[in-house]
Amino acid sequence: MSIRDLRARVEGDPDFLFRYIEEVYRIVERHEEVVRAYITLRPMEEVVKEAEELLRRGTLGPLGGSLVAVKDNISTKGIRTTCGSRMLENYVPPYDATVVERVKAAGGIIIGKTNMDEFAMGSTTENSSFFPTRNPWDLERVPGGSSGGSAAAVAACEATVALGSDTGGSIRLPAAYTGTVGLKPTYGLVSRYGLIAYASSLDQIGPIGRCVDDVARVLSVIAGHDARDSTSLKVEVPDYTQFVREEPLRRYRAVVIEEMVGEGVDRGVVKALEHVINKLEGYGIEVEFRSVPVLEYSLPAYYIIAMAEASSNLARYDGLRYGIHLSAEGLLWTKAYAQVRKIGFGDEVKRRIILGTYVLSEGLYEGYYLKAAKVRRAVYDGFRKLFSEFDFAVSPTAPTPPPRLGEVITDPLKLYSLDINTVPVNLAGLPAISVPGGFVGGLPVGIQLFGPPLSEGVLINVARMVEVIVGYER
Amino acid sequence: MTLALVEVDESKLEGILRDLEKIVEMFNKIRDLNLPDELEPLYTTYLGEGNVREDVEGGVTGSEGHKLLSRELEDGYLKAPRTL
Amino acid sequence: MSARVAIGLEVHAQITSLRTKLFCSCSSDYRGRKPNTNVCPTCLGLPGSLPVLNRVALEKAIALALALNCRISEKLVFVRKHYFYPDLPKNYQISQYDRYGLIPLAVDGSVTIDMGSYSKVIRIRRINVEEDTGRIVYPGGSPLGSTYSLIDYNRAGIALLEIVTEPDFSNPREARVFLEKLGSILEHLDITDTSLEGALRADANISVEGGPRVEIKNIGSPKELEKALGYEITRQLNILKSGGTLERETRHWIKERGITVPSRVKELEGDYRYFPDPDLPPITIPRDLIESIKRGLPELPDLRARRLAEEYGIGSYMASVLVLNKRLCDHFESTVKLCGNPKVVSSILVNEFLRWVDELDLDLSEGLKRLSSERLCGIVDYLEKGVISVKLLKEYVRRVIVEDVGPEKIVESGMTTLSSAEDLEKIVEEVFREFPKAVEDAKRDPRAVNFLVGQVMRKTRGRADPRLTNEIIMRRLRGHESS
Repeated sequence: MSIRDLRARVEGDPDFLFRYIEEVYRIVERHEEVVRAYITLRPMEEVVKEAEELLRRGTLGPLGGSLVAVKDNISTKGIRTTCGSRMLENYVPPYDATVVERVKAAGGIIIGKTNMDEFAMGSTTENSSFFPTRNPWDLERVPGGSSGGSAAAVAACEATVALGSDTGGSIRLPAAYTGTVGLKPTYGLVSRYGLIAYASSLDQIGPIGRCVDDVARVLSVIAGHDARDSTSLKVEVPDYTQFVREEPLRRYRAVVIEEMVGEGVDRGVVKALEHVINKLEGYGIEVEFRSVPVLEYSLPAYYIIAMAEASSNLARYDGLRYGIHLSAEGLLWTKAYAQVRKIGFGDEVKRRIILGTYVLSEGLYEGYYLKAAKVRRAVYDGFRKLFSEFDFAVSPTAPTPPPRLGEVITDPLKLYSLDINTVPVNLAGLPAISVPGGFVGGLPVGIQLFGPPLSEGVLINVARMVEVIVGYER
Repeated sequence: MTLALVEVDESKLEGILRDLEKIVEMFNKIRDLNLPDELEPLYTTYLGEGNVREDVEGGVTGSEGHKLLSRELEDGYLKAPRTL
Repeated sequence: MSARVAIGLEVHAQITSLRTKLFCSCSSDYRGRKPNTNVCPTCLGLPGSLPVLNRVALEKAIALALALNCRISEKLVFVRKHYFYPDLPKNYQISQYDRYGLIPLAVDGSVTIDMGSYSKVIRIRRINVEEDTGRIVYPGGSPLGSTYSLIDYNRAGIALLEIVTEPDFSNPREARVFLEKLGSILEHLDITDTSLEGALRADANISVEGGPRVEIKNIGSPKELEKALGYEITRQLNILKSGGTLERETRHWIKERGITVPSRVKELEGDYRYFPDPDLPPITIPRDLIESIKRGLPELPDLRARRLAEEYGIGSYMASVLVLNKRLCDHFESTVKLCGNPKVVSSILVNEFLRWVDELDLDLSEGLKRLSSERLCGIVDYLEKGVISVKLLKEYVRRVIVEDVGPEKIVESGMTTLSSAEDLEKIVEEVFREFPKAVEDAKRDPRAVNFLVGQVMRKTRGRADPRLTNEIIMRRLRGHESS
């Protein structure tokens, strides 16, 4: 049930909200044992109480009682927030992230916190310190990551809609693998206050939903300036639902970047893309091919930057102020910290912290981090030039359909290569959306649309069109 | 690794080191690039001018502060390891 | 001491005049509060928290940069400086850096210090804006013997200005005068109230005879700075004299014992892994903002000293000493407004008052309270009227400061100039009787007269009018000769 429909029903019949809540919890009960999308599911009584309060308030808000699953790296006051890590296994934030405040004010009800790769480091949710989440479409396969839990919850109807975070593709990849819609906003459009940071210059929070309209609704609620975030844009936020139209709102010129449909991409996926492109052309959208050679370097540049920032953002986890409790008695602080960080962090996190520390160290900084930042500039400029000619780009979100559990997790480089089409977008801070693009071998694949800064309207418009083209109806 | 204060189990050490080597090899693609000096590094894609805030109080005061530290405090102080 | 010495300073000044911290809206008034009650998610570095810059902090920093004649950067770029320590909530400090194309807030400034017989230009390498850390206290009172430490984050995130000089100081005195002058500049700019505990801290780098650099930390005042440096130079020279070698190290100044000891706290120093803070995009510093701040600058010490010298006719060195402390200088001007006599007032303040405050280790504000303008004027009045002599004046100043009483009380106790010729004649007679040998000496050697004058002073407990005493003695001596 879409948010729009839910809201309309509740407006007409407030009691419906309770029946809806019961139904969702029934579904959760049925599926959760296998899917395991949630780390923390709120007790139904609590959710019901909030629903009662919402109805009492008088205004339903744009979300009208939607049950929102929130990725477990987004701070929720009073609700355990673990980041998928032992380090924060029992951490209960004393404040709400800005997006959570806005969701609640807009009539959304938080149903629970979803599973994720530890500290958002991963592309399959297999790096969660607790358990992996399975793809509702094929339980032997991954749902993608790092927002795997959020995407799975939405795909399995265990929530109305979800919030995820995207640093190198962590919203778009799971959306593609689970046949849902996931949007990463322009850097700075959505406040990061309360988002437990992985790589601050790349992170963004965004919605995951079963349809483009849901995603547009949530985006309208969470986007907009926040004085508590220095990287928050001061822009007017439109009602993005006005862009949910089945025809193009104007003449669009689209581009397909050759490097994104190259050798590493599964042929079935390319075919799905071609099908969509053909149909888009039918709507009068011009599609051209271009090469952006610098993209060849975007994956290593991304990981250098992301790991460097991660090693810095995770320095604070020493067990002293929150998280795993550290017994202070007798130990020297360096020993005590090392102990906490040894048991608190999983292997992938440790790898990234070590590498991040490495590339920032004196003597190596210029060769790695500084150069990666230069490559980032080149990617940014490359896209800027491209989007002076075109309105948006279209590509496969992921190079392959969702892999099996265990298939890529043993080889870091293999894991990282899943992000090949998504990371350039984060490097340049651009908005992007992944929308279901059909099936390959019975498995969902996603189409990625991305454009210049603040072009969410265009992307949502085209995404809606793709939704219709693909005919994927819930 | 002392700079990062991160320790790894002995048993996993070899495997992790191998992984690290492979990843550094990938990183070396960047290190070995010849980039023009004039190419300025990009550290943030934030489009606007830096945000600032007025010098106006609005923080948490009093014992509310203690609630932010989810720990048992000793006379209000946070217990921490030795520093010597 | 003719040893070759090079000293550089790294000064941290809190911007105490801000109402809030540097990156969050917690109050900047953290002193005296119960621990961990002046904190918020941002200054605690809670997961998900973010920093937002205090606009006024930037303006104050620009004002200081202008006052120190620095070149101000076009952008303010923040970096993260990483090290692990319990008083550092994020295990990194937000500051600025000066490599890899990153820039401090301001560079290449200068401060001129007046040493009396010469003046010297001290070069300022850079000025940074950064955040302060929390405070560590120890359950036993000292780190030795404590099995754990206690942290209070009330101070974490307070705005600091870091001022780093080139190693231009050649002796401890110069360093002290510089620190006093810097403190005065900060006071005049209404940036720092230097009387607050911990508001002005200094670390010193010293190299003796071209040897390795030794860093001295934990210096809390200009007075301590001079002492610490003096001690350190002696210590190092002793090592060299006895054939030992010096090594590069960090030492801690222990005020109570007057020594430096090797620092046992080895913060994971060395590689701070600086990189631009992604949570704080660079802030453009518009040139017209700098201009408007420049136009609005108050009277700074150098200008003030010049004005004082002109307006009040006091010597330029005297003026330069007065402006080293804003409170002292303000006191001077308000006292002179009350009773004029700028030369006497300035002399009292500089030559007497400061000495006593130093010797008694008194807080300057307390000292000024005791030697209030009214009391000071009272003393000057007595001097003018001849109630007391210059010699007695010094005694009056001392007693007013030590006993915290008004000068009238001291007059009541009878300590006035003995200028009755009759009384003095009697006492001179006594002295002549008691010291016949000195009298004989005095006839031949004028310097022995001082001895006789001194004895008269002793007998009158300093009250004898020196000029009159001298006259009487000289007359008697001449009389003796003839007899």
